[in-house]
Amino acid sequence: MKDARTPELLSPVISPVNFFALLLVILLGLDFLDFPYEAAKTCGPNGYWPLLAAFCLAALPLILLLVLMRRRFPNQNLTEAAPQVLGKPLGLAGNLMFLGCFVLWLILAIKDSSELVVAYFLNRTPVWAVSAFFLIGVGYVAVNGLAPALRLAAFVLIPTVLFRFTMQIFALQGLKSAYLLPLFARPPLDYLTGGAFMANVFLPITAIFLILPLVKKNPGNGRASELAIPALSAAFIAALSFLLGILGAIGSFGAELTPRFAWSEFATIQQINIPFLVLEQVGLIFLVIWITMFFVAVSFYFSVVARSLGRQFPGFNYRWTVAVLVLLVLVGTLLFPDAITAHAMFTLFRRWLMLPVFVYPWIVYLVALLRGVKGKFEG
Amino acid sequence: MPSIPLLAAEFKQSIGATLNNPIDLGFEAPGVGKITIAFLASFTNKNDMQTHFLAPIGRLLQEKPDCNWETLLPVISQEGRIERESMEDAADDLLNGFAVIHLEGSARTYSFDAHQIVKQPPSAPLVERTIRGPKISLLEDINQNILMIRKQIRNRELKVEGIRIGSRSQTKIAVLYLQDVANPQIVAEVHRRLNRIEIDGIADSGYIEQMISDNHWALFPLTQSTERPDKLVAAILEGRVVIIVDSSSSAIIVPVTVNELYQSPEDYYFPFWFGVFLRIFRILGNNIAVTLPGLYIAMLGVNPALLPIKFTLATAGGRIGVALPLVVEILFMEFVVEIFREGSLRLPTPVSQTLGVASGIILGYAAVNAGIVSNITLIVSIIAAIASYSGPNYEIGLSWRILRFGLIMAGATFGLYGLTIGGLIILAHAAIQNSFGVSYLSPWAPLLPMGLIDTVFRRPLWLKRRFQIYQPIDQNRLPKKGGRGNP
Repeated sequence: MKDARTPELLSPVISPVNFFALLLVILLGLDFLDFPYEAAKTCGPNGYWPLLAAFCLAALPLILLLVLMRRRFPNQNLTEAAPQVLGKPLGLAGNLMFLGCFVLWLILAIKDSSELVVAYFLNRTPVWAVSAFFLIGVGYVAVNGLAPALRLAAFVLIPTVLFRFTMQIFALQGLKSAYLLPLFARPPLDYLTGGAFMANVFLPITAIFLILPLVKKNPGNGRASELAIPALSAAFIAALSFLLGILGAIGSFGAELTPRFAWSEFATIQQINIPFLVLEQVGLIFLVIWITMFFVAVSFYFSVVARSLGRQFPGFNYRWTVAVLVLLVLVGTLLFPDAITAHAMFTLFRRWLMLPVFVYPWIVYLVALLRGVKGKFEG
Repeated sequence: MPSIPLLAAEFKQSIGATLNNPIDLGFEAPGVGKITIAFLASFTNKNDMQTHFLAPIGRLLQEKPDCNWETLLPVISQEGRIERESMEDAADDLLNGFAVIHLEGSARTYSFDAHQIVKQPPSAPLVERTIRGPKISLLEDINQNILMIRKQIRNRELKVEGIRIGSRSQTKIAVLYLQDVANPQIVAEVHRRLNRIEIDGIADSGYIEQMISDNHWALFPLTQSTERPDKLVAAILEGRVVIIVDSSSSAIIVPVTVNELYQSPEDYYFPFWFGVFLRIFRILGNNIAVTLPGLYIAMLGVNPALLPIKFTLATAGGRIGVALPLVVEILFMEFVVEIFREGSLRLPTPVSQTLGVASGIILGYAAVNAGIVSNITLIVSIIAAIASYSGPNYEIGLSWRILRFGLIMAGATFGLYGLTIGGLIILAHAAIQNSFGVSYLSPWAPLLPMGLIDTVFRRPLWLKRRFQIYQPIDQNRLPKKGGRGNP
């Protein structure tokens, strides 16, 4: 029994149910509403197959690696295990690269989302003000540790997921099956390429490597099923939502038009037409729901990055690290001159970011396997 | 420590000096003055004094003028006899409502409970009113409050522990819980926090609430206060801990979650669907109270594109002739409503309702006619004000009233986006709070799927298991047959 400002909030025990909630919220919150872009661009009307490829190429191997890493390093997260496996200098460099990718990704993500908000909500408000307001909120959550982000994820899970699916189903009202046919119009290699480019929708799973020892039913060593079942369930439900988004976008606008929208999934939701509704536009409510999930996901990222940096550099104070990160990200968002450049860079970055972030945990694991390095067991 | 003087005159003088000669210090000397009974008149029941002390001692002295303790003590029928050998202890006993008997020639005294119980007639709850259920609220007397709980939980496992807090007030505090249900860690934490309180006096349970809170800067109540005995009983049965403070008509329940603060006892007194219906509207009312003014300003002032055009035009038309900007208009109304609310609490009851209604109508009408506020702003403010009373807990309502101003400003500055982020910050503030180790947002966060049964919906009474929220050591509501708790 400790009060609100104890390390318990920084390193809480995450039960499988809450792990599921967290993963689902961050997967859905970090989809950036334009994943149909890659799907339509690479596979045209068959944009749904690359999602399946992405699930097999990214989600399944990452979840498998989560389980393997937990078996080998039950009480260490990736950044704690890496120096032990790769040696201190290499491990530190690898960790900084891994965490640096997240920070860069946060900068672009917040910039892009702020542009989205300005475009649809606040036409006359400067983007930096929107980013700053968002970062104040995120900073407040992150500065109080990991537990608030986890609790927020659990709290918003049911309403946001329900609303999201309902709206995505409603958005299918404009679907034209002809836009989605024939079923196999492209060579198989295109589906794989599309899958590789779309793999970034499952990128949030990589952040779990940073909190792996916390996921357990009870204090002590957790079992593989406590990790694998919620992770697979969350990835599967998220994939279903992504599938609905792709079907809605390509099915409504066609493969030609879909990539022309900056946020094609949102554009699909915008066309929902429900008579006698109190609101003129349902799409903006969808945006509110997405912002909620995005807020929680970003808070979680800030928290885990700051926590991991603290593990790398024991002199770092957690709260100050969060504050510096918030400032860094805010300054980073100011460096991009306009929405189009930022969005284009973000799309490109997300496509290629997958590579180091995806490969690094595998390198750590495989080297540990080859060198026979194992983590310390407790209890 | 000074010992008890042997002579009666010295005893009187000494006890007077120890207590700084209070005005209510009295002495009775039955017989020839060998026996002295000291008491505080404010505490002591005169009839009891006559019946239990003076009359039997008088009779004894007639029979045996040279009495000693062996002959004297059996004739006094009062229970709770304590032997004292120091003046301080004897004086403390007087402060606790005891009568102290001194026998000349003896260096000890005996204290007997002569406490006068002020029988206060029970009254209906003032703040937590219900349509169905007991119409009794707690009283200012700790013993009577304990009695109210004991009458409903006649179980030997009900533990009633006492502690005194306040270096000067020496206020009696009772801690009640079911020993075989409440989590011992929570009970120990309650004791730890109560024991570390350093204060000169406790005027009300509110003092204790603030001093045992997990976070003094939290904008939400992290303990639950109630004036209803039935709520206390339900909490104890749930495995929570109740703290009763003497001279306070509200008790404290810990731990608390935000979910508890929206539950009213009558949810469980009505049939299931009635309870669910009431609870849904209560939560809806609270959400309206918190978000409506902010939403109004966000939708109308910043994001009118969200609303149907006809509605936007109608409301915009209604604002023609209003001199103030929308944000100032709504803030003005909020301030007025808050002042009305505070003022009406202090108005004498016979005139408060009439004056409230009359001034509300007249002022509202005048404000609209004068172009200070629009009709729709008036409607929004009044709906929000009324809806803020839909919750059964006054403190959480107060929290939301404060936070509503933040949401108004967020909505006015960043529209619906501001309202979303503002709402999330408030939610985050709730998410960082713990109440005695229990997450404030439980069972929503951390997610306890079984606990969700008693949130928006009401827990069915046939459910025999307790929820995990408070980590009770016994999850079964029904004690095992022949268990040690059953009389």
